Amino acid sequence: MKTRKSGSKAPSGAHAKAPSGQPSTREIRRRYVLMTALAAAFAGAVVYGVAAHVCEQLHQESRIRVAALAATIAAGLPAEEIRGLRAREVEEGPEYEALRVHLVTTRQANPEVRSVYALVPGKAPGLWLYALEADTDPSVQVHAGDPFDAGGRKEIAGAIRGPTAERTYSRNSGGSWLSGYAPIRDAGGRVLAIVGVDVDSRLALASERRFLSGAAIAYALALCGIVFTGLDRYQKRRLEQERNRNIHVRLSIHRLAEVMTRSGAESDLARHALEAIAEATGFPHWALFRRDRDRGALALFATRALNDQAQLELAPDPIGPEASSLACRAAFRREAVTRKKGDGSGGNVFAAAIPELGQDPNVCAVPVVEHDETTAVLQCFAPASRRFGADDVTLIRWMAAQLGQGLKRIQLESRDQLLASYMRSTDEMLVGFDLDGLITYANPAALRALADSRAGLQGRAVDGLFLVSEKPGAAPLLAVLRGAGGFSGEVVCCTVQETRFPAEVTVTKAVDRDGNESAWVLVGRDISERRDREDEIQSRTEQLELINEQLQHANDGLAEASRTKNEFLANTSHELRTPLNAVIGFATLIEQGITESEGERGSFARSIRESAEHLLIVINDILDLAKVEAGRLELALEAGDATPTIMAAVEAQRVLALRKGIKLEVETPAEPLEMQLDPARLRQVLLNLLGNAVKFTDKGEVRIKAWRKLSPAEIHIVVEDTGIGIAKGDQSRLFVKFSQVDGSYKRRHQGTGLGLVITKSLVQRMGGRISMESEGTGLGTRVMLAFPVAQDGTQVRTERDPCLNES
Amino acid sequence: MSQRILIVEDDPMNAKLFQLVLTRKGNYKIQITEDPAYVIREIQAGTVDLVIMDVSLSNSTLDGLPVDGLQITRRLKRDPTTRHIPVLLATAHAMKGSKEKFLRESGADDYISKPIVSADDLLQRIETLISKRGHAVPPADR
Repeated sequence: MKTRKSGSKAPSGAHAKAPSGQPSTREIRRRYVLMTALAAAFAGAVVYGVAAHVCEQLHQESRIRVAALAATIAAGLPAEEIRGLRAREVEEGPEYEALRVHLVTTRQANPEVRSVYALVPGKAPGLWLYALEADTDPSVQVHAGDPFDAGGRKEIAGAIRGPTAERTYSRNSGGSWLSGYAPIRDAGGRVLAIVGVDVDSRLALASERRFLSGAAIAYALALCGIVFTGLDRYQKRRLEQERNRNIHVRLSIHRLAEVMTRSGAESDLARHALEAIAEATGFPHWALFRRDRDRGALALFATRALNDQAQLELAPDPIGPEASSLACRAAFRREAVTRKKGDGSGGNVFAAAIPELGQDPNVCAVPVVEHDETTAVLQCFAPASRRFGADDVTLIRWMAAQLGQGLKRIQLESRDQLLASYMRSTDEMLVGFDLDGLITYANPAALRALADSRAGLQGRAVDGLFLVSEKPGAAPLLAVLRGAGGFSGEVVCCTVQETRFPAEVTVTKAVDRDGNESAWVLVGRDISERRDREDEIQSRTEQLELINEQLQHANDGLAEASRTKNEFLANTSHELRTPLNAVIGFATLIEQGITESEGERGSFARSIRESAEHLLIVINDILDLAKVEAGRLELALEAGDATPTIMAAVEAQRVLALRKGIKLEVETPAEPLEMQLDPARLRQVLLNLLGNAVKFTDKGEVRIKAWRKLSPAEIHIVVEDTGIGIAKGDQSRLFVKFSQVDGSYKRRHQGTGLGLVITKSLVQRMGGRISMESEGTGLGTRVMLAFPVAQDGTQVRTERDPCLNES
Repeated sequence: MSQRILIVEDDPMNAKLFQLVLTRKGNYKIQITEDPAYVIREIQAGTVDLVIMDVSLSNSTLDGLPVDGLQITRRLKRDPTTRHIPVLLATAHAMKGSKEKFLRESGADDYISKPIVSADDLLQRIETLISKRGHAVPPADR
């Protein structure tokens, strides 16, 4: 039984009605205690009455019996004898003895009788003297003439009128007895003596006691019955009340839950919920705080029956153990906190703000705890007279829990709605399928992409819709998932209409409420467009790369041209400076007169002249090249025989060849080699080629051959030598302007290295072509010239030899 | 005792010119060569006080490979037995930046461009290089 140690008045007034209008537990208990006590008292009274009556009856019966015994004994005694006794007042004589024996006999005949005696009147009125006695106790001997102590014996006087008995028992150390008396009358009716008999009361008392104890047992049983019945009734009543209360609470919670399922703004719902809570609990003043998840602080969310000032006062301080706000303390402790009357802080604030609560109101704050974290606090206010008991706190806690669940569900529902609308509206395919690969859910995007209007996707096998690879024998998606526990990558989607498109998907395990992995969730999107774009980008990239490569190539060419031009300038400078050194040097020697002889002076002057001639060659080369470059080299072309020009060029080189000790041979046909030619330029070409051949040949021979080829009709001139040759890799660079075979500062054998470039240009201008071949370094060189045969009236066509490098 | 100068030059006319100028105006002993191995040998033999090195050499090879004056100088300056002999580059390569480039690449001690306009300048440089070398610490193993 719940106890409430409270001396306060029963709930009353508008501030705190009993929740259901029913009597409180305390009232019921008091009522039942009272009823039980009354019943017990009544039963006691009845039992007492009966017992008293019966005892009285028994007592009367004992008295009558004792009186009758006294009368019987008195009747047995001869009156005359008694008279004699009265006269004598001595204990002697045969009559006395006879009487005494009679009395003793009488006494002995009746074991209950303690003593029998005869009393005679004394001289004083009311005084009786012993005349005869037959006592059981020899120690208490009385003798004839001893006064009868009538102090306690009130009925002795009544015995004159007839047999009677004492109303009360007498007692001494030997036990208790009831005395009876009977008169002995003479013939005239005068009382001669009174016979007294003391009857042992043990039996009478025992029977009386037996009866009384029986009555007591009966009463005790009755009392037990009454108390039991009372308790039983009380318990039933209390259970009924509890049940009613539970029903009420349940109804209240149900109502609260019903309120919480309504749609609407959260704050409206909270206000309605507070209404329901107020109705359920009977407390009208409520405040609900919610915890701001970000800041962790409490904020007032909804109130009931609290005015603006109170709401202002309720602004909570930071959550902590020492927070002055009760709500914050409750939030910190994560348990209900009540502020009782006289608790000090805080109360007066509300007393000022909420006048109807009176001075020093009671406050109870109950946190809503979720995952060990306070999410909200429900706070209740009551007047000082209405303290919060355990029941109240429990009820408020239930309400708070219900409220918390409701608020949480509202949040979840709004999240669910958000999620659902996302799943409906997103372009991403969302497909759920069970562990056997059968589809259980597909969002509209997935249906649009994979199904047609008639067929859904429900129950279809996921392996038929998504291919990890289109290759035959590739592992199906489900097998991949089972192996790897998930999948992320590109797949091929096969729609119900049997079309295909590429998609990028991620498949993860879905976990149900119990933490079991019960399904798969696939999220994916069609990437055909992206694929197309990627392809386009790819092709564009390739184009750009190609262009880039071409640009790079052109750039490399330009860089190369720039580099070779710089090299050309450097080399030209070098080639000009080297002979100049000799010119200046020898001229200085002559000028300063540092000569030993006239002959030496002559040799110095010759050195100066040779160097100057070399300078002239270099300068002419450079000028020729400049003309070639500018396209301004003018040729005086005319039809003629090439043989004289060939012979002249050979003769010009003969001295040098003789000096080097090599043979210089020439083979020309007897008939003229008719062709379009500028003799001076052809000579330049041949001098250059022959000069190179002689220069690069240290032993062996240099040979020049010319002939007319019939088909096609061409004049061929070949210059061969047995000199150092040209490495295969360098042959292609020979005719490139400004290029050198060797990029280092090792000097070329002669000139600026422009000879072959100028030569090629001249040959081409004469309509011919030039090519050079060498088996390699040290294996000699062979240069071939081909010119078209001159034909009357036809313009010589300029041809290009595709094997020559033209820049 | 007159100082000994080794001239590495492929152009005979220029070589002769060097010889004339240095013997008649400067009283030096002159040797002329195109052979790098000879240069190394002579320096190691202690018969050379200074080397005048042309850069463009058409006929010089070392270990079977054609080499120019810069490569020879580099070789001389890397070798502890030859690096103490001063090398004067005398070349017709006289573009902007050539001097710095050649001195950096070869490790030569000085540079003079052809045409050599002033014989006195040449002699002055030679004198400076030789006297500087006289103050320098000779190699430990010599």
